[in-house]
Amino acid sequence: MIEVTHLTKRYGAKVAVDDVSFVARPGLVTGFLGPNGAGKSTTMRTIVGLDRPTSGTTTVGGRRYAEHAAPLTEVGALLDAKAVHPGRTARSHLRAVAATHGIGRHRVDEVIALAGIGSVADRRVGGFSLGMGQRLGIAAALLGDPATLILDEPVNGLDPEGVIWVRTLAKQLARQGRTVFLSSHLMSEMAQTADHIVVLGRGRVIADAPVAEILAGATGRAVLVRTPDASRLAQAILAAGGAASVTGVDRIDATGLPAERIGELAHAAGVVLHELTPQSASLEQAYLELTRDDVEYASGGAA
Amino acid sequence: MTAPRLTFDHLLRSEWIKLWSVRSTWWCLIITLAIMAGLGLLIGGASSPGTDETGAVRPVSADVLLGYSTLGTSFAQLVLGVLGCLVITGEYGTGMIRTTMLAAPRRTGAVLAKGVLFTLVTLVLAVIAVSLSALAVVSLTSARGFDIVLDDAQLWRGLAGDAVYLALVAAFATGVGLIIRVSAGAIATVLGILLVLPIVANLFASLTRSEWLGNAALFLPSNAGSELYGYEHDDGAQVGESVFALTWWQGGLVLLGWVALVWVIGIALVKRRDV
Repeated sequence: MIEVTHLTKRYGAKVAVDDVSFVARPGLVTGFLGPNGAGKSTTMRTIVGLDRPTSGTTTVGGRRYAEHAAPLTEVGALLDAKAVHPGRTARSHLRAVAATHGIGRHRVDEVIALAGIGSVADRRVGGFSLGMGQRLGIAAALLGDPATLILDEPVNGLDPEGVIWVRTLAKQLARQGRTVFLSSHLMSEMAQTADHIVVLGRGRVIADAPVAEILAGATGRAVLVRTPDASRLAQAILAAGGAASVTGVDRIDATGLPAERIGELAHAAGVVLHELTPQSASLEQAYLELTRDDVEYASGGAA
Repeated sequence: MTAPRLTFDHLLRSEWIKLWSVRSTWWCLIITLAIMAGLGLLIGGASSPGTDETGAVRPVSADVLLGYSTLGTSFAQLVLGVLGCLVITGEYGTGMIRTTMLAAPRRTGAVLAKGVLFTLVTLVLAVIAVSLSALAVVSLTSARGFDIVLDDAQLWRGLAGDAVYLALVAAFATGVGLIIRVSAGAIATVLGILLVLPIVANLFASLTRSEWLGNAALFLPSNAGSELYGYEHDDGAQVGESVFALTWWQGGLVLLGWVALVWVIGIALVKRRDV
């Protein structure tokens, strides 16, 4: 279990993490979302002792990370796949990490097989692709068979097979009773993997709830309507208090009214319907609404 | 199978694996051996002790043998200084330090293990290097027909002291690397302190005729450390009015003091900073 309590981290004048508190429980996959610069990586680094908090505490398994007698059995972290010496082979790197805790070659071979890097294990890490580097990082995180996993953008650079592998692994580890805490920008993946979501924006927690609740909070559920008489139906929807934009020859994106009501309006106006589909809220939509005001680095509109 | 645990001897083992799994280690150690042995061979094969008043060839005395055998030291110290920096600055430069600190979050144990292991490895290597050099000098000079004087305790103390000197230089360089963290800056600092400072200090001392500065320069790491492998012609007591020299063990202690200083500062910084 990870407990973050009133964590604040300042770098000079900039407050990267501002009084953040949340809990990541065992048996669940907790997703960590937020725009770039929101403070996610800083929070994760503070949990594993790489950064010192300005104030507040973080504990894993009830104690500060540094206080554990065998930290790698408590937390396996992938924060930065590039934190390796490029001149070393993958196997030497893993052996060196394993040796700090007296973990033997057998386990090193096991994690190499688990991560699927057996064919490149004896090659120098400097030549690894992004995906291979990520797999090496995950292998290193698994060395101590940890009770908690902290993964920062684990699917970064992975091919579709790799993305599914990480999703399956995360859920499997959570089912085994471990705490899995991972951050990602890939919303569709996060929606399928996470059970609980913490959203960070400009250093503050702006949401901390089960996935279903986050999805339910998304407003503006749209209904997709296809009809040969789009303009007439659109007017009927507007008159009934909804909003409708005609987005094609026979397409309307309607909001504000449930699909059933739109069907009734169509019937009353004598309009033929070819399609009437409620659009379920996506995590991406919910997330964008939540973080709309808290984006640190926003791109300008498309040219 | 025992449960995994973070212990100091486990950290030593990890540092051992790290040290030998990168190419820079092999290169620097081979070059050190080559420099020491090579210079020993060169001078053993080329020098002559000269003749005395009667025209007879002098025997090669112990102080000359010591000087010949340790000729490569001022170059070998540079190579080991560079390697000493790299073993720690390489971790910072590649980001490996984050992996190391994740495994050993209290940090002190990890850097101490690195320092201890590297110093021990360098000591063993230096003993081999100095032995090869001395062997080359002794066998070549006697093979060329010169008498050699071997039964002088200072000779053996000097040879052993040379190995200790090189190991302490390596430890010093790692300490500086711990403070500066960047390869180029740390190497420049180490080489500057070992090579440039003594020259500058002596230059200023003679220009300003400052005895104080001349004495202070004796306490620079490479100057003080050189007493470890230098032949002592007297008790090392006062040479002039207020100019003095350090004995071999005083010089060794001063160098050890420098090593301790940079390590104390380095560890304090490691504990305080974000990684």
